[in-house]
Amino acid sequence: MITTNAFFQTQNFSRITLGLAVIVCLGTLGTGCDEIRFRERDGFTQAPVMQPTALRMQVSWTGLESMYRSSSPQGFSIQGVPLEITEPAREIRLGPLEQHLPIEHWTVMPQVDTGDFSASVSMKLSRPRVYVPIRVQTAHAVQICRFEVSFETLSIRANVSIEHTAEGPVLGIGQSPEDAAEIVTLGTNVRTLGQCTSLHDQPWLHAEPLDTLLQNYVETTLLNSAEAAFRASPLDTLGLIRRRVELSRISAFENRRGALLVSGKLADSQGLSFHEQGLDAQLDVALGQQRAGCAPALGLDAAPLRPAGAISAGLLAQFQADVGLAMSVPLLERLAHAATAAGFVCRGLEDPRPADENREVIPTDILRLQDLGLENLEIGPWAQIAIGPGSLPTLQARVDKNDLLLKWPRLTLDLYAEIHGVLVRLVNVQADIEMGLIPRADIPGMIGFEIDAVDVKNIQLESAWMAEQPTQQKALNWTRRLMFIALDGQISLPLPLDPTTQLRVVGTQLREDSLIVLLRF
Amino acid sequence: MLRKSQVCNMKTSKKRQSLRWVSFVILVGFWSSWFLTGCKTPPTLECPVCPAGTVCIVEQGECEERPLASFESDSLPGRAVRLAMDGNRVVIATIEPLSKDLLVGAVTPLTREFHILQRLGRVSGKRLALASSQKQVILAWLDDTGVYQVATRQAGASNEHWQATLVQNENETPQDRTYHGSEEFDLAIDERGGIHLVFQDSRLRTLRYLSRTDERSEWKLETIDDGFSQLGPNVCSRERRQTVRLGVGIEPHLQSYGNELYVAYHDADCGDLRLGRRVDQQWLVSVVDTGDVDVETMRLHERGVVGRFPSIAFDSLGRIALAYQDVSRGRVLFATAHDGIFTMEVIDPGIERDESSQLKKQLVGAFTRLLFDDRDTPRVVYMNATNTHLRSAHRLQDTDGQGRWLLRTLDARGPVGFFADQLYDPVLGHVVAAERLIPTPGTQTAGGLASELVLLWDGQP
Repeated sequence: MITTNAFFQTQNFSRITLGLAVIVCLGTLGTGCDEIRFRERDGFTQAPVMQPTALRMQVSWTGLESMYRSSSPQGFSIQGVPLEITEPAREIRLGPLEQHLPIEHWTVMPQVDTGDFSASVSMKLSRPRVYVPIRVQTAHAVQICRFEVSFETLSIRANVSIEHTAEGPVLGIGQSPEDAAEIVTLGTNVRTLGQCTSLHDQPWLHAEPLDTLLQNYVETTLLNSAEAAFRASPLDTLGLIRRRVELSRISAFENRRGALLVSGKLADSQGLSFHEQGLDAQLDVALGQQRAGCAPALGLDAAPLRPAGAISAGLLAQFQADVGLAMSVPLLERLAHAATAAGFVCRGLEDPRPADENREVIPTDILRLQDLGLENLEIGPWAQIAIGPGSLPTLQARVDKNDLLLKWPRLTLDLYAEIHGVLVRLVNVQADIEMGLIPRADIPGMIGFEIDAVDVKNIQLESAWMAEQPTQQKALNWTRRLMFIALDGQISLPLPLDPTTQLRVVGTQLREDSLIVLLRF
Repeated sequence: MLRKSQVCNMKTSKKRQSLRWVSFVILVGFWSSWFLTGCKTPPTLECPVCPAGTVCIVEQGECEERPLASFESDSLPGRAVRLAMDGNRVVIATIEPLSKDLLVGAVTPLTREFHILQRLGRVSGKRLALASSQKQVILAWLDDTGVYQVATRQAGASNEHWQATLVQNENETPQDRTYHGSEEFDLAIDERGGIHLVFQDSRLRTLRYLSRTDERSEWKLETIDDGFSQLGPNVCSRERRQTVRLGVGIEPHLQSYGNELYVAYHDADCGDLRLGRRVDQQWLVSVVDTGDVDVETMRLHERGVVGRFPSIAFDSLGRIALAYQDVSRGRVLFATAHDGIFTMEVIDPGIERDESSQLKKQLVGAFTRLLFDDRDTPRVVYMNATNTHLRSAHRLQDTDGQGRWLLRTLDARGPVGFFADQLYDPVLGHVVAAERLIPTPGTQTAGGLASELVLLWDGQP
């Protein structure tokens, strides 16, 4: 299976869609994200029914600092329009400016004003040196000179609050005068780089000295540029769902082609807000699907959604996490239903390449075919498993065991191996399975699930290749083992983050209502 | 060839020389195989290895043609089964996998007789090729040394008498062998009695061609396709070919039509279906299908794999058609040429609706064989590898010659459908053969499975 990162790197789609991958890949056991196509579209044939606050994200104050840092990897980008100075004998033009300045660190502090929280964001630059071109034009010649304006220390601070724009809420510098960006400098120095004869050969006629003009020009440019730097929304980096997106199941087999439709928007009230602990984002999510032929023809009837609860600051602190992401368990279950209906769970036999390139093959010598009396079959060294859902799964959080209980009635597995050079089905087994899924945090860019235990019931095992039926106990043990082989390592949760960020999972926690993923830069 | 009454005391004959060096090869490498061919004299007596259809006269150290031993059994094996017409009889070649007996039979709806042509070696005997003309019936197989053998008999003659020879020239020795055979091969006879054999060279991984215009001429060896000679947008990269290194020429199907030869085969490096056509003593190779038909529209990530088990047939107007497996999509395709461009249609998509209305994917198309009957109806037999059933399809004719495909399961008892083959005769009707594997307790059968020949006459056993 191509990892999420690899897929994301090869697919040039909007960050907005990243948040969807997390849902689909969890809801579809074993579905590789390489088999998903994202497309923004109008989507639903019926108006989507939004499930309130099904997804919730919390970013701590230090997390916001890290996100600002992450959203400005090249530093502080400054851009300044030219400043024209006209004298009788010459025309002088300062700038334009276009430069990246290294940021030493960001600081984000809570700001309280009559009970409303905002963020005091400051950016400290490390001994910045700004290079200013000066164009001097006389009647006879033009000379371009360069000046350097440097600062011992420089910091820019502003009050950042949530702005509601046509594109939705974003973080930005507040409109009131006290919110405006302010600059603090120390140890300013201006010097010429090289000779600038056309400037120094004639007397300076302007009221303010050139050094002061240059310093003011640079500081104004820094302040103007801060608007954009502080406005750079970290939310996009986190890939929150804010549009309707279709996720198509891509398959060579036409009966597996369906689509999952997901629509997300920030919750109407307090969808994005600052509070004592940091930034809180609450999202409403709606789901729909276009049923694939391989999916069970069942009506979707999952438990009603409950809002995902807040993530405590203590939990973030416990894991030293910057970001917490809470997904309500009923949402996960609904997604699993919708994704199953959309064909994402119908898996296997889709990679026709030779064994050494094939993502789907498993060695036949681990299958213990002797338990079924199939030890004498002259089969090739590789086998493949096809998975098909006979019904819809249910998910339940078990807080005491810190796992998710997955129940899947009538899950079907077909085991294929080569006989006479042809991939033939050896065994078809259908069973009701129950398994505990323990989240892992050791896979870069993903949350894996370790299968704690598999319980199988109501086994129907068929094979045209068996001379005698195995005992019930042997069939049960063998089926449990095959389920383990087929599903272990296949269930994973790609992070809803841009793969170029440095966020990594540092922990997970299950609550009765939601799965919380803890992340750190 | 050795004649029936002729004792093979032929020190000066070319045949004798040929047999001697064959003896050397097999004695060195496969003494057990040699022993089982019928010569029970210790090797020190210089008894030559006798080709199929002859036995050694121990006292003289010579081979003599003898009637083949009759094969008597309640059930017939079906390993690698092939069919051909011989007058009003159907010729059947098959292998008994446990004993490795190569069997040849002549069958009518009412009668059947089978004889043991040869006991095959330990390694060989995975595939057979059978062809017939108005004058002769010819069978080919690979022996353990990597050399092909062909056995012939006159059309209409007794099934007891076959004459076998090695597909190599007199002056060849194992050291300067010009080819290395594989189990990927096929055979055809042209109208003048020339024998044509195509195969994938097991060392070069190329598709090669052996031919002989008559039994006195030498075998000519040519290369049809080395995989690198093709140019154009449909051809996959040299890098791909060098990475995969499975070669071209998998599962070739060879057909003679008029003065021309056609061979369809799978390109395992690139996952394509290729077609070679011999015109004016030269082979022209084209890529028929690259499996990319919906890669773009469906945005599949990988190039498709198509063209396994290709089968060629010609309608009454001489128009070529191909049936083959689309491996990526697990379905059977039918391709017809119009103005030199092939168009494909799906014979069987391999999708079936189960009792709960779910559409289940079945992998279909293994062992596909195509023919046109006397009404120009294309008929295909193949295997459903998911259910391991033997399937057939024929196209219902509309007025414009098009029409939907009618699919049918011919046999669903146990794993069945391996090596499916078919022929059509206006008198005998539609004859289908395949192998059924019967799970058997214990280890007294090869692979824990007994092989059984399934033979259907117009759909009936």
